[in-house]
Amino acid sequence: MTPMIDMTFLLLIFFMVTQRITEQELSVPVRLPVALSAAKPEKTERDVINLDGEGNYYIGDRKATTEEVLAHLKVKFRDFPPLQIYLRADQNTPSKKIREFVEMATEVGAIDLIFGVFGKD
Amino acid sequence: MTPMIDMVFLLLVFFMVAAKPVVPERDIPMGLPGQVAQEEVVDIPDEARVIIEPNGQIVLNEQQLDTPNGTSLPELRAVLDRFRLSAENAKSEALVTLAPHDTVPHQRLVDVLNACAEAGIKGVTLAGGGDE
Repeated sequence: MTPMIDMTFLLLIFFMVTQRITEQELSVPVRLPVALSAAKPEKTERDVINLDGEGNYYIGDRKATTEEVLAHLKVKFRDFPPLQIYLRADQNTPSKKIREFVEMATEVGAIDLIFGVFGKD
Repeated sequence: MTPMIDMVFLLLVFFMVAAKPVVPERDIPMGLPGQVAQEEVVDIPDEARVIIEPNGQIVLNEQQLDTPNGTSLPELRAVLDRFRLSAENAKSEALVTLAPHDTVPHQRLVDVLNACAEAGIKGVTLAGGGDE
């Protein structure tokens, strides 16, 4: 009996923790665009910037202004030079905003920018 | 003991049901020039300029391709395919410049990037604004 209870507790804790993680990821209201031929991500350290449909930036899940994002990227690039930036932009974000972000990333000296998308469906 | 196990089971079932399936995300990597954004227009041979109009219509060499709404872009893909082949024959790299209008949604940009990837074109750049 006791081993079964142990297992059940383990599973319970597992599901509780994964739920916390899922919620954190979904806390920024971003619906990624869909691209069928996108590559599978390689495991690398990357700095996540979210950009919602209205053009608001989020560093991780914290809302930020354009200047804050620029300052954040500068600091990140200084600390981890070959910086990989992962942009999770909403599918409705106007491309003006995308271009603005690309220019900012270029300005701080980053050479690696990744657009986050969903694969099939 | 039994009521506790009952409770734990209940919680377990709750969290199992509440756990949402995580949809895996994928990458579209872009190489940046690594310097301050360029102001002047640079002429590069073997460069295709893909313009995306505000309604999503794709224009390449003053020729309208595909419909403004469809996600898959077979015509654009075919043209880019030929473009890549001719660039390969001329031993130069096929370069595509994307010039989306300011209001074009990101999904449309990704559609075109997707078509470029399908056509095997690696050199894609994003044009600065102000050309319309």
